[in-house]
Order: sequence, then C-alpha cells, then structure tokens
Amino acid sequence: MVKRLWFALVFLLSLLSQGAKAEAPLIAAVSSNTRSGWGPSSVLAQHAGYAGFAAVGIGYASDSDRFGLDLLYGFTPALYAGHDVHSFGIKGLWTMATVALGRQYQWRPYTGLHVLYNPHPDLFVMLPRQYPDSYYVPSAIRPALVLGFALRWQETRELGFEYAALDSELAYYRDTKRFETREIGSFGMNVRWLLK
Amino acid sequence: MRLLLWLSLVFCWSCAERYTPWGVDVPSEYSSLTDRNLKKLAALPAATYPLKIALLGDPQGTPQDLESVIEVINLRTDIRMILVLGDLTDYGLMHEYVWAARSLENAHVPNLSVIGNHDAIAHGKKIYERMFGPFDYVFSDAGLKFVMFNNNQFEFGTTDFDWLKSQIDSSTIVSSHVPPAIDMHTAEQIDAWTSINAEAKIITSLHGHRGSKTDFLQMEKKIPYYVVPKVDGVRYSILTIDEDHKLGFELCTPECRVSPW
Repeated sequence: MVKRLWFALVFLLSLLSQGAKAEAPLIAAVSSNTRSGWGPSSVLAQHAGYAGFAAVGIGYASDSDRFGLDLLYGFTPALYAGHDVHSFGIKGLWTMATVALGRQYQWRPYTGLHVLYNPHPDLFVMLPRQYPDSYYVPSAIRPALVLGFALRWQETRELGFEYAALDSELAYYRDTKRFETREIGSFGMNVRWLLK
Repeated sequence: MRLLLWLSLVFCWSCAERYTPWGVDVPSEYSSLTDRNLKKLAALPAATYPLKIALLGDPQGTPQDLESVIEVINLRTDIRMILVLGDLTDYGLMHEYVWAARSLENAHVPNLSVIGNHDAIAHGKKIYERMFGPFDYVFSDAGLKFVMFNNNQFEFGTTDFDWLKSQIDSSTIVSSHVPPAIDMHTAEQIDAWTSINAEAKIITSLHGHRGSKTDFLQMEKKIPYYVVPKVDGVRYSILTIDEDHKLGFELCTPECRVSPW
C-alpha cells in the first residue's frame, strides 16, 4: 500500500512539474482551437476516485467557469484490480464557489456526477437478448457522486482532491447509516492544466 | 499554502483509495470461503437431531439487514450451519461481495452459499469463484448430503441438470438460487427437473430469488420446495430435520413461526 501511495505521489508530482515546464508549447499547440468550436479548456490527469489508477482526459468549462465537463480515459493494471481495467468517464462538475486565497490562489469546492463506462465484453449496456425487459441495469456503466475541491493557482493549473461514491455505495450508506471511508467511496487526486 | 497542500495530500492518502468499480482482486481474508467453512463444519462436534439450519436469501442491497440477521442467529445456540441461497450482491461488484462476506464471516457457525443471478453479472462469476469457490459442490453432514447447485441459466447459458441428477439421492438436500418457476427455465426444464428430484426422492429443495417478504412452500411431485424471503429487516428461515427426515420450516422476523404445509 505504501508503495502504491508513493508511486501515486511521484506520478502526480512529476505531472505537475512537467506541466510547468511544458506549459508554453502545450498551450501553443492547442491555442488555435481552444475556447472555440470543440477545443477543450483544460487537460487533466487523475489518480483513483474510481477514474482508474491513472486517468487522463480533457475538460470543458462554461463561460462562467462554474460548470465543467471532463472526459477521461482510465487504466487500472492487473496488479491493483486482479485484471486490467480500461474505463471511460464523463464527469459533470459544478463549482459551488470560488474563494480567493491571496493574489495567486483560489479554492474552488465542487460537486458533480461521474458516469463510468467499461467496454469489457463481459459487461453490457444494452440488456442481452435472453433477459426480459428491465431485468438488470447496465453492468458496464456505474454512476458516482463526486465531492471535492480544487486549488487553482496563477490561472494556469489546478490540483484537485475529490471523493467519489458509487450508486451502490450510496445505497450502503442509506441502509447502514454509517459513513465509513473504509467501506465506501474512493478518494482521488487530479491535476489540471488550464488552456488559455 | 504549502502546508495546506501537504495536509490535504496526507488526508487523502490516509483514507481509502479505490481505482475502479470493476476489480476482481479478492482480499486474502475473504478468499476460498467455501473451503474454509467446510473445514469449520468438519471440525464441529457430531450433529444431533433434530438438526436446525438457518436459511438466508437475497441480502443484496441491504448490508445492514444481513449484519443484523447474523447477529440474531449468533444469539441462538441451536443452529448447526447457515445456507445462503444466493444474490449476495446487486451488481456483482467487489465491494458488495466484501460487505456480504464480512457479515457472513461474523457468523459463529459455518455458512455455505450458492451463487445467485445478480452475483453472476459484471465480473461477479470471477469474484465468486475466488471469494467462495466452485459454483457446484457437495458436502455431507449429519448423515445428509448437501448439493449446492448453480441454476442461474440466464447468466451461465445452461443449467447442468445431468450433474444434479448424478449427485442426488434420498439423503439429499439441494440448494440452488432459482426455484422451479417459469422465469429462467422453460416449462419442459422444470418438469424434467422436478422429475429428477422426485425419482431420487430428495428430502427437500431450497431456493431464494423471489425476494419477497414472506416464504413459500410448495409440494411438487411429493418433494417440498421451499423459497426463503429476502433478508429485509431481520428475516431468515429455519429448516428443522428429524432423524427420520421429517421436515419443519419456520419464518423468523426475528420471532419464528412455523410455516404451514
């Protein structure tokens, strides 16, 4: 476990430091189509929070910067899941407030819904033929409620911490009335580079 | 600001981090539970009659109720074992399996399970095999033969009635998740299935799957088929077997009352 945490720490910090160095060319590369058409407003990487051991993606933000939509691809190797898991996620986010911390930093609490999709052949979106209508909900899709906050600095980067709880875990909380992070939910971290 | 950052990092990392809902990596404390519980059963003193067995079914989605039922059963001293008749999970996900296994392993008596249809969706089959063991298995206790039978036909594509037929006799109690009703099985299959059981003169056939608040007991070709209620609130059943294989069923909520024949 400690090894995993250190790996995650190194992974995120290296992304962060690389991001600072590579910021100029990265922005230059996408500047021709950002904030217009289909260009994303940010790129991001995430660890855990049900997005995968390592996930990367792009983000879109509303003009007011209060609403966002992230598209993520995540991978969890067999070492941590018993088999390789590839998943895709759509995360809708609502930034509830923006609190200035000095001149360079902002604290931005957010909530949202992360819909995860796993394209594995053992899972389904459309109910297989043998089942009567509504026999199961899609096994390839799992929704998770997300609550977290981001620290934004210099209007260029964000470091986010979030907690995601799956629908089945919210049902566990409803049934047991116990909120135990040992039993339910997943903490995740993400770094985001804002594209001007 | 740096301090805040580091405190946040430590906070997150000291708590749970899970990467995906679709993992199949079973925690070692919850692996091979069928084998472990069979060893516990074998280590018990010889059974005396009347034999009492607690029956549970369909605890998915109500982990607190499963915990409560196990606590209530633990207060009794007359229960030989617990048979869990499937649907431990709603979505066949690892965390649901772990919740169920944790509660069941708190039982003071051995617990043996069959796989339910909900347990077999997503990667549930793989998790069940790693956490519990084979889908079909047989064990003996108190001179009785317990046949644990996987009949989730939608999820497995077929039901192996030939295997069932090869295992059963007049000392057999069969447990399987799906009862003989037209749901996953055709009328022809149900007729063949109940005929197999009748020819072998099994003692009884036990099931879950209906997920109702009450139990059901019906005779098919002179064989009693008993369907347990869903573990909802504190609901479980007791099967009592006399030395001459005379049966009694009780529904407990948690007070027990005899189920009428």
